[in-house]
Amino acid sequence: MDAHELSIQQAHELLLSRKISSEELTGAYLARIQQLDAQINSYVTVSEELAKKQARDADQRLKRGEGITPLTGIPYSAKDSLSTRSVRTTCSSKILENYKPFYDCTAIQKLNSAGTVLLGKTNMDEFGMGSSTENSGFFTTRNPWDFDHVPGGSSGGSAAAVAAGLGLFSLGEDTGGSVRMPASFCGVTGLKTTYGRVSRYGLIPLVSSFDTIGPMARSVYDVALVLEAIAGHDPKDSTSRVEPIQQYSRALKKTENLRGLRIGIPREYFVEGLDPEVDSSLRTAIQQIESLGAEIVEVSLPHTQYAIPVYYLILFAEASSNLAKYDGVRYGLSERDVNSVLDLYLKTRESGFGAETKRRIMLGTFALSAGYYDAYYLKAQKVRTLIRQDFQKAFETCDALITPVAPTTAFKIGEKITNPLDMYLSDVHVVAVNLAGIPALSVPCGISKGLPIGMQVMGPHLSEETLLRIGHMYQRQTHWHTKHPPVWGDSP
Amino acid sequence: MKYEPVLGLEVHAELLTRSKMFCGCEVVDSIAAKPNRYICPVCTGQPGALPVLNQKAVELAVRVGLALGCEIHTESIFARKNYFYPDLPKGYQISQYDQPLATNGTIQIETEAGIKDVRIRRVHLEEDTGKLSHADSHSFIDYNRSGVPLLEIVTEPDLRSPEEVKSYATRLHAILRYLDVNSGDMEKGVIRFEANVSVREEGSQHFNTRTEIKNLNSFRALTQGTEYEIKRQTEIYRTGGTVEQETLGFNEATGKTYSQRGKESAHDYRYFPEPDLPPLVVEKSWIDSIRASLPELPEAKTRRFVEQYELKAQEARLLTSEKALADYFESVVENSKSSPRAVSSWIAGEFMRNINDLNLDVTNIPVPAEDLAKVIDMVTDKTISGNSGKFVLAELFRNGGKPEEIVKEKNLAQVSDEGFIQEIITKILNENPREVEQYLAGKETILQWLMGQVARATKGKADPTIAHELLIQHLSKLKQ
Amino acid sequence: MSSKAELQVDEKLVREIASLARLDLNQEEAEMFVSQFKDILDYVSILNEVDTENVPPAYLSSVNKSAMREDTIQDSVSTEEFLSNAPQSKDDYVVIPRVHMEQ
Repeated sequence: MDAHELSIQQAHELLLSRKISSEELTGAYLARIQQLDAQINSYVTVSEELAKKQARDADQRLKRGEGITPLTGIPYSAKDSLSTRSVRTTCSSKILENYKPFYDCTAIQKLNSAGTVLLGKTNMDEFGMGSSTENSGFFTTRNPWDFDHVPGGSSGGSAAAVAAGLGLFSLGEDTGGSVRMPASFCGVTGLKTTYGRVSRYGLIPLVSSFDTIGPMARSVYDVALVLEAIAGHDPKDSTSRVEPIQQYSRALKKTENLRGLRIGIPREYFVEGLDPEVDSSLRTAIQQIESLGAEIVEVSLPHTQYAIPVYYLILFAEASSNLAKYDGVRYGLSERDVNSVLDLYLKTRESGFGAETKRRIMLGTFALSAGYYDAYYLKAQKVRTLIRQDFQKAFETCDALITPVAPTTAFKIGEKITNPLDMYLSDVHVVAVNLAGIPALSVPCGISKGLPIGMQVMGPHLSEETLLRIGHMYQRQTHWHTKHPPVWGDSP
Repeated sequence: MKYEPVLGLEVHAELLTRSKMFCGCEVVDSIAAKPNRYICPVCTGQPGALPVLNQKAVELAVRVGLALGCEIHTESIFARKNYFYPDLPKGYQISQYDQPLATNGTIQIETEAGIKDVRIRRVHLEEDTGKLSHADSHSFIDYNRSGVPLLEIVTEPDLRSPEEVKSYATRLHAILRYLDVNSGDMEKGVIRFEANVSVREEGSQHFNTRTEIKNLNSFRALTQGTEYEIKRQTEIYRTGGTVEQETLGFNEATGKTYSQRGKESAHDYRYFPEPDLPPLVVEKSWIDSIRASLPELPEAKTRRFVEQYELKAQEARLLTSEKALADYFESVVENSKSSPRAVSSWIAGEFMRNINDLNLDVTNIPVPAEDLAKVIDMVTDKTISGNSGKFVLAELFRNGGKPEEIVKEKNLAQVSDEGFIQEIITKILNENPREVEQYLAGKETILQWLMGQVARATKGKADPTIAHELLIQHLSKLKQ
Repeated sequence: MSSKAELQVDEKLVREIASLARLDLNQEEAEMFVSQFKDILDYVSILNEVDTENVPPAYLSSVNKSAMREDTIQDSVSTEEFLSNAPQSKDDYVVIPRVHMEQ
């Protein structure tokens, strides 16, 4: 079996029994990235030196038998919005092209102390603004299943890297579907965590109210292992949840069926515009879950159609504020052929930000400005309350909800980039989850014309364990998550 | 037509915490410290860094709110104030906007017409910015001050003259020091003022357009700036013009205000709730315990001094203007056998003269209270003369030492021996027959001159009361 | 949104917003934004359908109340590390073109 075909658990057993060293494993991944990534463009930065050093450190740990965790010596990638000390962190923006943070974000720090190996940083839509990675300031990542198609976004680089076997897992970030949608488009498993379950400290924000870090891997079980390592309260993030984390992987091992769970199917998510093959894959998947013992009921989330305008208005507003710090003064791009500070700001931001980023900054500045605040920002926050209440009501009777992740499979590169509104509408099934702050899992559940289809399982706050159990049982019954893109077989 | 000014004041006071408002960096004297030493991802606006609120800053803010009689809100929220400026690392300042920590308080000030209540609209927490300095074609940024906790205290437009503004500012300054929430060190910029100024026809209830003067960093600048602005606006109305709403700067060198930004770049701060911070919840029990720990404030202390020490109100107010001074006074009284009124007049007179001459601060008094008590007691029991007392105190201020030793060393002990003084007087009268004759002829002022001669001959040590009595006795004998 | 009829999305508005956001739009961008603004604001006006009378705004996502820290001093980062990212620095200061306050 080639290194890239291993699951985290398999790799862990080989490392423990010393049949393979982390240095060898890491070397194999670095070689595969070297060989394949020129076609896929999933990595913005490959941190080869750091990876080799971390692999040697992990081998020392394994040799001494001290401080070994299920992730010790495991090579992974992280979305380029997670701050990594001394490793370039760009958010795929020209404005941060040469920025090297002097601190690690908490999630990375936790992985460091678990002994993982960072292979590099993955491509994304600039600052997370997009659903295809076409808005990257550097290049577009290709869907490993079909290079003419997008990998989804904004964590498209992470999803593509996992799908193509360019890392055992990846840390993604989900603001409005940015973990789930690319996971679905690339046929991998991705978890959008409860808001506050994983510390945001060091995560370069898009929308501080919605951003969540989440694992992306090739199975629910692997996702659970990563979640255990990164979740938990962080005193550096005032919005991080204080509740203790669960033993997610242990819970999966104990799960035999889904009896006793009631799962709702929100009718508003199965309407016009849903690709018929996506629809039928979902219905098949729901039947399989029912056959595992879960009770299936229809529910309603009546304010669903307002989720996109609410989501985007709040996003515009917060993003316009979060992106004000990029001014050419302390770090990042700085246009110095200027004669005033105002000029420094204007020229730096003009050449540093891409078109979509500027558009959203503009819309957010507008939505917050004196005469329009009530009509746009405040109105959106009020409707957001109604959307949250929809979920609260649904979860009074259901343990989880199942929906498609996206109405279609991965669209073609260039198909939607010229019409921003059209691109926004592709997020229709994912953004409500972020408005409510609840967790949601994306698992592969079919393939249509050579492109993967994803199923979304949502639950109430802190229901990660339930969602992982549903996903895990589904993956034990089905084979979709074991399907690989054509590039999978190419090995160095 | 007569015009009256309408003024409101916004005061920014740094809070005396050890660490910054939202991170663990040390709060230092940003004038003395080397630049960019006390910084971290949070206070330099690194991408991804997040704020965590300093509990002590909240406690100090609640303290001020309570002392000003405000309503403390058990739930308040932080907001982002969005604007671009190079000393503001995140592109927004974390402040409070429509749900501040405390509202509706009052401060009593003294005016020519008596005591006046100035209403406090709000008290809220925010973070300070970094500091800019300029040279040639560049500006230089130091982020040591970035993120230092600031308290903003805003009045209603209740002030009606620069004197009232100053009276308010002085009173607030004293209260902040009493509460031990601010060092009061104006030169270091730990308290900064912004004044809202408008002018209207006297008797009108209408508010005219106001301007806002920023960077008023001393009491002097505050008075000068508001005076200048009132004159400027009055002149505009007198000549039929209109005042434009704008933000002004104040130039201490010229004493003039100047327009800081044009109308086209008017600020729109686009406030919205800070998503990185949960609501600030201040439990009632916490408020109660802070209330219980509040010290006696200037007004209450003044009343007590009048009652307990039988001081005049004016004396009491001087002594309570600074907590350190009031404490010193009480300590001297405790150590002294003299009356509190005597102690008060010494402190108000000679003591303050020395403080001012030496440019000292009452928070750092070099003369121990028991030493001043000793000096006053020696004068009271006539061990030394009043003049010698002044001399001893000046010595203590300048060279230290113990009062008794200075008296001994400089041979200042007063002579009360009547025989000795008699001898001197006889000698002086014999040596100055012409002056004696003039006195006897009715020129009474000669008596003072003769007293001076006695003082000179005894090097000021003769008890003046005794000397005076004996001199009169001698002269009246000659008269007969 | 309720003032949709009154809201005139034109180049002047777009330029005013750009100035607030410190973005220097070229003519092409300004024109593109005018048309895209219209589409997007028109789309979000769907929210007008929703009755939000008596509905409180959601505002903050966190369920936490008052996460506070003790007033203790933590190590700062080194000046050198901080300045290593600065486009220009001198004598431990971050350097920028001169800010003109008094104009």
